[in-house]
Amino acid sequence: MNVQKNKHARLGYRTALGEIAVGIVWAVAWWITWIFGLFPSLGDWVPYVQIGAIVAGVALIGKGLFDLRRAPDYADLKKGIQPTLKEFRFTLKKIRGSPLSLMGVSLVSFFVAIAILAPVLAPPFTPEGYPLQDPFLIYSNPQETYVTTPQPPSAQYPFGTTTGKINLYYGCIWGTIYAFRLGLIVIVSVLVIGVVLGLIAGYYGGLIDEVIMRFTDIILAFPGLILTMALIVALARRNWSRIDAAILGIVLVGWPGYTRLIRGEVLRVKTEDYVEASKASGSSDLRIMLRHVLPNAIYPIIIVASLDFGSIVLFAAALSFLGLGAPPRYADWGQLINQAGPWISYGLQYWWTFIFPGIFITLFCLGWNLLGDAFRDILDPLYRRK
Amino acid sequence: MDTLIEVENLKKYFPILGGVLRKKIAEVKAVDGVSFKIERGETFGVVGESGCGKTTLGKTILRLLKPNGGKIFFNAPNDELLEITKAEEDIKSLNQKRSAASPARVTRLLKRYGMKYLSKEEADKLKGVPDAQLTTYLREKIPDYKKYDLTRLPSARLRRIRRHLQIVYQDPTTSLDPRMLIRNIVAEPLIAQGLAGGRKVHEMTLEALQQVGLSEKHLFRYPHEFSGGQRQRIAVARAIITHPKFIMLDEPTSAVDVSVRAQLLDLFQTLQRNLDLTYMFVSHDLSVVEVVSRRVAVMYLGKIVELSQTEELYKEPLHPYAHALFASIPIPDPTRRRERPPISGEVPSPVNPPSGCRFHPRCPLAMEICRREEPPLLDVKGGRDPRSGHFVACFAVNRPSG
Amino acid sequence: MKQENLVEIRDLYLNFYTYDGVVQALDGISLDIKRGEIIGLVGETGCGKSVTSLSTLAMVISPGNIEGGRVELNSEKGKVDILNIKQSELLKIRGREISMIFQEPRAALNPVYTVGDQIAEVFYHHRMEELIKAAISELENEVKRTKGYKQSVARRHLALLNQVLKNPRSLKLRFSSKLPILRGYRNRVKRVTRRETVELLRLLRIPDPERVVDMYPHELSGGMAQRVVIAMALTCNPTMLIADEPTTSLDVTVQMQILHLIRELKNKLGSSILYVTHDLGVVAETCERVAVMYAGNIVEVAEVMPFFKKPMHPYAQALLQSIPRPGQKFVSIPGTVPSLISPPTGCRFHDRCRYALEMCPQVKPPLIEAEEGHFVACHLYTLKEQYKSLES
Repeated sequence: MNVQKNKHARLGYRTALGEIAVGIVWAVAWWITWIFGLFPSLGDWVPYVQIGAIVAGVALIGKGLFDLRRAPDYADLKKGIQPTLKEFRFTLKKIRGSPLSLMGVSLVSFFVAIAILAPVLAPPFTPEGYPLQDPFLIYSNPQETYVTTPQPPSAQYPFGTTTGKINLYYGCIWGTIYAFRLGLIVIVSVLVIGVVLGLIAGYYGGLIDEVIMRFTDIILAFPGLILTMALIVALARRNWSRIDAAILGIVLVGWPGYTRLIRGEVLRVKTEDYVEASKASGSSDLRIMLRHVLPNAIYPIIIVASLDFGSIVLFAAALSFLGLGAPPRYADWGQLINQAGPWISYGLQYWWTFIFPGIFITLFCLGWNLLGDAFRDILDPLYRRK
Repeated sequence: MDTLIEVENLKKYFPILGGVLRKKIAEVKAVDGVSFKIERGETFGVVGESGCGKTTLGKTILRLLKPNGGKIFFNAPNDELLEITKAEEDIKSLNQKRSAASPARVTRLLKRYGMKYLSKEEADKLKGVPDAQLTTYLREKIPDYKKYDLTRLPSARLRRIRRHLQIVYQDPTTSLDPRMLIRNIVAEPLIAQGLAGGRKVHEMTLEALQQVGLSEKHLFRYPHEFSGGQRQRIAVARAIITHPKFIMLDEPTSAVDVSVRAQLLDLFQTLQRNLDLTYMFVSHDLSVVEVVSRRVAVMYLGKIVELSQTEELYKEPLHPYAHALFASIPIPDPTRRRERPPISGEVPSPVNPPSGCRFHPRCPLAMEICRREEPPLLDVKGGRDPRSGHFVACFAVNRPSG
Repeated sequence: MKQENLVEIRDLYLNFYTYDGVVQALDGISLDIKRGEIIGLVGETGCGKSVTSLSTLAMVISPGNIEGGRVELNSEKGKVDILNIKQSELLKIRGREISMIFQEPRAALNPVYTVGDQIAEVFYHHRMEELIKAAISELENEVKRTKGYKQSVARRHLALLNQVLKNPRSLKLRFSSKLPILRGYRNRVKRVTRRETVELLRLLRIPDPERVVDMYPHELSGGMAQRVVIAMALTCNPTMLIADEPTTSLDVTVQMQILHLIRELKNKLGSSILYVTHDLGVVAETCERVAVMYAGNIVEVAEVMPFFKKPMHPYAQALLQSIPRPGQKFVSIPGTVPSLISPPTGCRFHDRCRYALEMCPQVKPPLIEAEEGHFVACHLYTLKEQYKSLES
């Protein structure tokens, strides 16, 4: 009995946190394979393996939480987390207080839920039950693809179909994942580039600053849409997937703006006393940049980034509508509207072809917009309490 | 008593850029040729009004700003001493591992830590000598303190010296990072310099907080949850945690209330006693400087105009500017109201200081020579004892005949 | 010699509603400000002196809310309760009968307008009629003196200005004020205003006022900027000036100049001045009476000489003692200023007071007149009063 107790006593909170982390990574990895239909060739019990693995991951998270509770130094962790939790709770209260931010949060959560539950809401299987090779390519019975006229919403096709018997419901649901994927990749890339360049330019100033700024000026001189379109066409010749090219194009057009923004904030934070105090304490430049300047400069950037999330997806949808984004039959809202192209001139006769994807795009952008506004209202650390 | 800091003809100019090509069109001569010595264990006060350069002086001494001329000498504990301690630990750990400290290993150690002070013959002789004797020998060879010229240190070395040169800022709200917990703020100098790790950091942080009168329950909070006086204490804790030798106090009591001010001044004096600190106390509040300092320097437009022991200076300021400055302190005694303001006009801009003696346009004792030449800082007591001299830079005082 | 009261603050209660709770900032303040006196309001940060001065002009905004009390002004029109009048009446009082200056002069000045423009704005807002009349009388002289073209121009401007006085919204005026050449008549008023502004700056001992009038605030030093702010406050010869720590951010020598200036102005213009500060030295240098505040209460009111010679309230005594003096050990008041969200019961100073009695945490001491003209809110003296009345 005593030996057992000792064994548990050795599990500190760090181990428990590690368990939780591993569990999350495991579950997410398997969820990604499930979503993107990897390993389809291993037979039709594959989905069950995938779901089982996800469940195992969740179980590990649970065990980790359980161990955390019973860890002997849990009290230390709690004390360390307390102030952050208090701030978090304060933030939540502020969100609850403003109806618009509440709406923004709910919209975005709604879309996140759709994205996570996509395989449940719109199973990536053929009607006969075979898993799809690529869940993002909307499947239709090959014999029926010649049916070009869109069919109105029905029980089998909740949102109706468009050209080529494309299931709009399926397209919209999986389009959510695509939108998130696109947005996340672009935002993360742009932020990384912007932070690195902006920090260096702002902190060191002088020649480096000038060089980086002139470089951003050059890129900013190009019209964004045209540059992206040209890039997509050029890369398509080299057999790049159009989606990847679109992502690269958007990143290329977007990074100068973030660099300038971050550089501006860095310039402001650089002059604060605590940065100089840190220098007086003997911190290296890198430490000052990462521990003092960046956390204090990042707040306006978070706001801009969340506002941008919506516009990036909108931009990508525009590209798809012009035929330069996702390929045909791809689960992308813009592409769906592209498919609805010939039917728009009929007025509202075939309304379901473009209204449904349109609603998704609108609400998605609106949600992120409101979220960005909410962040702006609640995130200024020094003045929140007033 | 020996000199801890010696400043020689220090100059700091800030360029003003203008024109299309952003060339330097003028300079703000914030500090323009300042020289003095600070002794170990004393509190050296610097007073003056805005624009006189006292804050710039302090930050330049700490090398937070790059001086444009002059030298700063700092008698710091030899940082090579740290290496001796490391050598000792290495030797001890070698012995603990049961494997005999082979001559080759010792030679390698000596090479790393001691060889530069030992000639080859001496090093040969020392191989195989027991550890205790080895390190004592090394310690004897390396001086305890070394005089560093801060203006010429490479940046890596400078960073290591910084643990002995700390600063407490005027405004405790902006000098603490609002996004960091108190624990991290106070422990930062240790971590940034790699002086301690893990448990030891926690212990030293607690110790520093206790020394300033705070406790463990303040560790895990953010700066905005504290009052101004407490935040200033946190800033002091951050300054003393590396056991520095010199702390620059840049108007540390200006942003706090009168009653808290007394507590803070008390704290500074206690810490000075307990930790053997040397202070440079910069302030525009003359009454506060009077209480804490042993010697005080009065600055005007980038130059020291008077420097003396506190009691002497406050009783009888000799320089006309110092005289007017002291006469302007509001005294909490209504029977001693002044009829006229002691000085008229305002401090001119440091971009274009007046020629000769900078104070001559406003000086009631101005003479012809004051416009032409700059008065040197001379000891009116004849220079018998430089430590207790009374230095004044004024022709009217030093050379009344003109 | 009893002077008349200009402003009477009675039982003022003020609360701030914040996320952390209700801050009871003012706990029943009563204060008299007499005509033509300089009275200092002293206290530490957070004691409520700034909000008291703001309440006097009903300038407290949410989350602050005045819960009760009166602020009565004895103006020519009789007694007016500032907290209970219409907005339009209030706007006539602010800036004209009671003016206020703040701590940071450069924050009070708009950086994109020149000094002259900003002072002119105050003139236009309050004294437009007088300015027009002055311009008219000047014009009448000019009409008499000149001939020919100049005379006709002057006559036209005179007619327009008279029209402005009679009927500001007439069609002719609305026309003329928009068209470039016909607008000239407005310059007459501008000239008068500029003259008055220069005179005002000269009154405040600003050197070379003709040049300063065209300068921008960032070109001025702190002392000059504060003088400009005071000039703006004095355009209408107010009967009371509220100064909220006006010299705290200035150098010592400049502070001395401004303090002397304020004394000089009071003598010349006869206005009362409420000087809010935390520096007892300034009070001794400038004020005639002083009121000490602690944690939302007024704890002592007295004339300056008796106050400094013999402060009565334990807090006032401790405050005077904590001023650093050479050779003396630091005496600081133990403890810290209490949080006003849950303030101490009874006398708010009781937990830091060395003379605290049994009743101090239970009963709040009222402000009584312990000696002639010397008021104190402390049970040590309320008891003395009771004993005295028992004896007699």
